[in-house]
Amino acid sequence: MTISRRDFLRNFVLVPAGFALLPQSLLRAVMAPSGAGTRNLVLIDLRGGNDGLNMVVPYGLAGGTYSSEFRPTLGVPLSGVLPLGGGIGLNPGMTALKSHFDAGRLAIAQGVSYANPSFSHEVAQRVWEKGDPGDAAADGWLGRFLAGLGAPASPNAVAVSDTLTLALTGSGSFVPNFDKLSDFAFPSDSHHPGDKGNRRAAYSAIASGLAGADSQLATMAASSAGILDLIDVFATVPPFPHVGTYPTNTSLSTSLKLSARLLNADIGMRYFHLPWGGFDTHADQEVDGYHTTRMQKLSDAMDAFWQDLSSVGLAGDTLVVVVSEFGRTVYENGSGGTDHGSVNPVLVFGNGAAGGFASAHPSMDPVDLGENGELPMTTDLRDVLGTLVQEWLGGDAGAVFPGHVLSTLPLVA
Amino acid sequence: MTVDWNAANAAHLLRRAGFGGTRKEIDKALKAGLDKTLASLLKPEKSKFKPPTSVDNLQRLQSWWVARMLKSKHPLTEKLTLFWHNHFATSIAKVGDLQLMALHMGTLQSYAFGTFEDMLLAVSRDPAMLIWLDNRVNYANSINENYARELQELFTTGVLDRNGQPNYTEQEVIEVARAFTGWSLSHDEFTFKANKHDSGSKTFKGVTGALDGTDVIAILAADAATARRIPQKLWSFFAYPIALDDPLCDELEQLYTSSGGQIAAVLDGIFRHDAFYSVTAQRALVKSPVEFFVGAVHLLQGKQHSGYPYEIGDVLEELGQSLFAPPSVFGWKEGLKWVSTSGLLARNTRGEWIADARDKDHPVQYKPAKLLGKKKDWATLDAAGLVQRVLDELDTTASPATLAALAAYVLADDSGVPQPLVIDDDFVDRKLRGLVSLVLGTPDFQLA
Repeated sequence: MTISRRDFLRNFVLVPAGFALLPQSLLRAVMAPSGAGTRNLVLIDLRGGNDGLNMVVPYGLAGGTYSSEFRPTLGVPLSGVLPLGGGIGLNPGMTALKSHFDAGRLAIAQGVSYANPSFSHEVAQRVWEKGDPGDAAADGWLGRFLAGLGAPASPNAVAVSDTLTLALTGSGSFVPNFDKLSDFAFPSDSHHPGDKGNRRAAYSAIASGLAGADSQLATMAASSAGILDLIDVFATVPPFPHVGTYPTNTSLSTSLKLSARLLNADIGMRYFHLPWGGFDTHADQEVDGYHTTRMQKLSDAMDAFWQDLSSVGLAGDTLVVVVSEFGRTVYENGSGGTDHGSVNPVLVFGNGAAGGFASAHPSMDPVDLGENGELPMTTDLRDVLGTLVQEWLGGDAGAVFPGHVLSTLPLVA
Repeated sequence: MTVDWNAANAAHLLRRAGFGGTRKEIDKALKAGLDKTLASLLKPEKSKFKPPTSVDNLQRLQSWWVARMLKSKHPLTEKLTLFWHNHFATSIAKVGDLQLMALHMGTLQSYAFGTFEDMLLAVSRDPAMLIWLDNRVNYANSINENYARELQELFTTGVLDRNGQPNYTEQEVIEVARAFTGWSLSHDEFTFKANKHDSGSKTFKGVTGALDGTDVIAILAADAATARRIPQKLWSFFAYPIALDDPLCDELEQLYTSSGGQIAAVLDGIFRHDAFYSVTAQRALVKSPVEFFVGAVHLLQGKQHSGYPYEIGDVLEELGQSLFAPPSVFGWKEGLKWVSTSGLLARNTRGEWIADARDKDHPVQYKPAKLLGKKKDWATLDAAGLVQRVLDELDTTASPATLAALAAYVLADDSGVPQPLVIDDDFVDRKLRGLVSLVLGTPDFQLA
């Protein structure tokens, strides 16, 4: 049995003299205060509207309407469903997450949505990222949580994406977005490498000089300064000794590996937003097993990430959460696909997850469908996100979701 | 309203209606006057649109379009095509065929200045679009609502009107989908499959009858919500972002309606409007990655290496705007989103890559010494004058602190110690290139 780093540290704290032997990054971990700002969150965002009914499959509800009524050709074959109990099962590709469910490490909130759901990608995505069913908030729910933590010494959140995501806006501090650490280098002219220091000094002076100028310039200047800091910080980040087996050719794998590496580096980056596209399956959803393969990749990538974190003692401090802007129509369409729907399950995964179903699946009885054919919602998205803020991240759900009275869900152990 | 036609306003127009003007181009526009300059800009590209037939990968196709932008004598044609590309955001990721993507871009370019109704009809029959939003498999009795929804949500009326009321119902999404049944593809060309068309009665925006896609397009192009939203999007792209309830939209909507939805008429109104030249508008937009790259090479009086170097495509991807591959049907996120961390980082890195381009086979070709004018005049420049000259050539502003930092950079030797300014070939290769690299990375250069 190998002793993980965190376990090693836990056994070590009684021997302060040992601090001298520890690298600086490990020292920070030992000294970190408990409570708000000490746990990690990785938010995977399935962009395009994931078909939640084919991920968490209600095959046994309402007398089997799932396959007999709603999904005659597109339904997951019942012989392959991985039963979780109560007539609900996981997509056949998700064997890894099935094991984690059985081990109590996967919580599933079902029927998650909001009143008067939008069938527009753009609006629905804004609602989820803002955590505001009214789409009125100016910023994102994670950003508001970060604002409550105050300004960090070094960026504590990142959008693993080529744009900053709405969910992370509003923190009041510099939140970077990137998908490769190798991009972080100050460029140098190969013919005159000795001039690099001058160029960097000028770049830095320009950024400082613009602080407080016209707002767009000041915003860019703050990013420029942040980039220079990150170039220095990332120069110290060691490679991650991966033990998990990630699916190949999948940007989600790359994003999760990057997240594992940054978490392990212990540089204060704890909150990761990982958009993963390709879920808008209006046609040919299962041609060549398309959607099932994506479900398998999701499950396998999450498992590999957990293996990785377990190997360095971080699995207990990190939750992975999977959301999507909406589910898809209950009835499959005529082109082997599904159109825009509403309610969806949310997955909460990690050693710190409560395990089991955190809320009930909506009725699958055709008479219970809403006016636009949508499944009735059972769970308010703010209760899912609010529980994570309050019980996992140690934040104040009331401040992050103003006007909403939190009804806590059993998501966190 | 009369526009004060001075150098600043001429430069502003060239930044917005193109990729920025060199000093020579600004002078020319100034002398020609607003009317002539606008007439030239609004004249569509004459050369017949010829998509490349030998392009075998996405990067080269992207490089081909960038080459068009760099060579064009009618930059507004290219700029407007970029606007439509983001409006009808269609991606190779699903279309999967480079020729169809090139043809799609040709559709956008051919109809760019005409009536919006013609544009909608052409786009609805465009093979790439039929694949992108699945209408090729939208059949009677088994409808696929993807195109019907986005046609309303993204391409015409938008979800909500100026008062926040829905512009369409879920039932109308279904009715429009029915109207477009049978608009399909055969051997990569548009075909109407009559036996797949639902010829039954539909009701859409108060009109009931055996509507088909053409009828729906006529209704949508003339709809008040469209007449307000399309000009609002054009204004936001070319001038500065405004909301649907902005009073300016009243004027713009009027231009759209009275011209029968002529895009050229709306643009002409925008480019003659006082507000277009106001303080609110000047340097208020963040350049898109394509504007950054094309603008930089153009202002450096450079060009792209022949043969459509694939690396141009890599550059666009790093900068965050892979042409022909928008991230989703709602296109790229504009404004400051362009220069979030990875975008700004790439502008600095690729700015250096442009500035230090020396090799004969480098995708970017330019001569830095051109920026300084005649060699005999070099001796008259001091550090501040030299920096200002380069900023002017690159059509860029700078704060006093930025000017000071750049002037200090110009004089610093490798140990960071200031030395007397000697402008010679070594200086040009070392410091002038360094200055260009820095300017391309400044926050100021990112604004148009």
